Amino acid sequence: MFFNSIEYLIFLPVCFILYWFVVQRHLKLQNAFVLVISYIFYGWWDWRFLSLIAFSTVVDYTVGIYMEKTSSSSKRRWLLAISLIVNLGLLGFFKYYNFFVDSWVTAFSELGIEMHSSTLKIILPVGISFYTFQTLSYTIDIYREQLKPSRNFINFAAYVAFFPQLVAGPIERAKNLLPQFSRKRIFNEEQAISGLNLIVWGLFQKIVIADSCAIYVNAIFDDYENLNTTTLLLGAFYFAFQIYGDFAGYSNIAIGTARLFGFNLMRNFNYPYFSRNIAEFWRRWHISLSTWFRDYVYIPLGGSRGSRFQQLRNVAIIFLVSGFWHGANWTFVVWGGLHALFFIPVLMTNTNRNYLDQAAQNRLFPSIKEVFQIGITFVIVLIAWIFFRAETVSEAFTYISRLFTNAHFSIEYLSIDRYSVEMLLIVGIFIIIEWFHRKYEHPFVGRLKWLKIAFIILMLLTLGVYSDHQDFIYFQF
Amino acid sequence: MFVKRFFLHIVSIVGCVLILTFSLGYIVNQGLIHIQDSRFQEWNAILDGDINAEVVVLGSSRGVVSYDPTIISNSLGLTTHNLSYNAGSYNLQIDKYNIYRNKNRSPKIIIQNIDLSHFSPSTHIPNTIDLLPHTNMASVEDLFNKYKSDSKVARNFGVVKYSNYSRYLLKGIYQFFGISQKVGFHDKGHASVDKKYKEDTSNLYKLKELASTNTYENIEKGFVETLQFTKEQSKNCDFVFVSWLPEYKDRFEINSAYTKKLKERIKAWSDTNERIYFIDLTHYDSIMYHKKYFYDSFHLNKRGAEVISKGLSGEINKIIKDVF
Repeated sequence: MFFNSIEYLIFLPVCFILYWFVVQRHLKLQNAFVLVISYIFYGWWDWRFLSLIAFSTVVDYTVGIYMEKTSSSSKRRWLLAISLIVNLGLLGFFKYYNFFVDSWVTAFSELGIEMHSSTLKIILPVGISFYTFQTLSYTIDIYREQLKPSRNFINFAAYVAFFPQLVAGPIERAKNLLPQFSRKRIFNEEQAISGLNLIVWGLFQKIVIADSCAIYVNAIFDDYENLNTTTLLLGAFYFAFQIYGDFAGYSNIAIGTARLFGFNLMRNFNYPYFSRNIAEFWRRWHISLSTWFRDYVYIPLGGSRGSRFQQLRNVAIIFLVSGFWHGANWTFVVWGGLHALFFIPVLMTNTNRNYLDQAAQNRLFPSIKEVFQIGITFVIVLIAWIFFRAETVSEAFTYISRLFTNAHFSIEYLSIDRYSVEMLLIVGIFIIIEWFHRKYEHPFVGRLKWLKIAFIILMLLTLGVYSDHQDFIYFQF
Repeated sequence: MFVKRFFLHIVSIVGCVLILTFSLGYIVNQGLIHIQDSRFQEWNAILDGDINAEVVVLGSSRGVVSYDPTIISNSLGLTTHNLSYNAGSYNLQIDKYNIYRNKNRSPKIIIQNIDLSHFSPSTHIPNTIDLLPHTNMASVEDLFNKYKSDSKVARNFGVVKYSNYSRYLLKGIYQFFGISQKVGFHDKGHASVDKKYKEDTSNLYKLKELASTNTYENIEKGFVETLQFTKEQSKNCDFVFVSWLPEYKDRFEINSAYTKKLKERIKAWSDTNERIYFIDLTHYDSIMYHKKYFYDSFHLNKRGAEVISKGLSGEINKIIKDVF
């Protein structure tokens, strides 16, 4: 079930009403209800893959309990290994099996050894990258004795399958979300209103920004060999906003939905395109994943401690793994590698902890220096996005080379009903709205909030994409 | 437990959505159908039964640009309307004609334009925007349901249906508030194109590919259904003229062998059917050898349309002179 579907438009209010009017009396009932509706939500896509979630849930629940019972460190390590093998095994099989087989066959054929490929027709279960990481954080935290295991299976199962963030995050830590299942939720008006506002803002990001950009991006990337520099630049620019609108939109709808049910999820995006260097970008982009990698990969590797070589190695590993997490394709690995390359100079100059505040803090407009910094950061992120969007690495290189070799600067007609100029205007309005509300999680604040809500609804109705409905990009990861 | 403010918040958001979408939807609908000489106005007249022409032209884009109703009307002395469906094949043309007939009188004469592309059925509705102001009409809704089209909910939720057509949305609003707009000139369903010839290279290439593989199976079904439709209509009117217009020589030569066979079959068939006449204008006045009459290899420009409309009227006059 997609957040931007008619089914969800019915599902959400029905569940909301039942949750607050029928099952609100008992915590157990509330949690059981959350579990049931979460499984319905997921099963709507393909009920067969519910068994994977259930399996992962049972394994990690059991591992958690046994880990607490034993004081033997070797047994605890074995239990952690079981959890890692099961979760990463599922992820590896469903997401990476064909990729590795293909890559091996290609590598051997390069050496002149012909091998027969035996790839399987594997469907990638939606959200597997997200819920496996979520359950892994649970067992790792118990192993580190930073968390007590859950003794209530329903609570734990509801935590793993919690529908707002099940398929595309935010990847919640057990430390934050699991305790919320142990407390009876009481309707909080402020929380619910902010949830609704976030949903409206998330829908705008998805349906108006991301899906509109997607029409151009698809047209341009499908025909990039025949298009001029301006159009290719626009293609990359629009993709930057497509992926941002798509994923930030999903996250906002997820966080907003969770609030309607009395839960607080972590923030996943914090105006990343206003970052002044790449380190700041990664503190603001897909926060739940970058902090996950920081806590469970980067710091265990030594983090920024140790020799320069170790620091560089750790940065390279974390970005390459992060890239690979996004998908079984070399394009994502190169994308991660590029970000590592961008990050290394920042690390070497010890400026990675600069800019912990907002750009133009306490000011309306940025300084010239900040404009320059934001511009440079955006451009390098944009270059990396070309690899993220391209089908193959060579396609991405061709795309970039054509940016320089086909230097014609005119807006080409792309057979799209909406003019390119209008699209630029929409993105421009979006940037302005975000800039002036960068201190808040959504723009519906202040005395003019109702005017802003009405304006955004007007944009949703008149500029949203409903006919060429697009799936959320991160569902495939 | 539920406090008033949250309930009011939901009601306000839902109310805001409903008021904005349906009021704006109404404004844009009304604006568009009042744009003079537009496709929107033409569809409005069809649906309201305001046309009732004595001569009706059916065809695709070639029909739209080639048959000038004013010239035909002046020549035949009969009111004429060009009901061609831009980018629509035979099945869509039939559906449009049936919608026309719901509210308009049966014509005395039907001119059915045909060509090779006519017989490949349409699978979706082209130029969807033309119909959007009329989604409240059952016949239009039926048409949408019959072909691949946008979701029904989006189509019937006020202004949402225009969300992919921001240019038209603005034009509709401007027109509604009295600022006159233009969206391409349509005179009784005819749109003349005053352009010089430009070769449609990719279309010609595709056509050559098709001809080389000799894949014409798709055409036979459309061919048979077109003839059936024509025969049925001939029972309700005085004459049906099946007309085949000239193509520029570069295009004509690609499929000439196959089209020759088709034309022979149509001729033989029309000879056995009373009140049905086949008028083959392929070689009319040697138009096919002159770029000045075309804006691409398949479509006549304004000049070509004037010549062919006069020519066709002359041919028709020869046949109907004793009747009208």
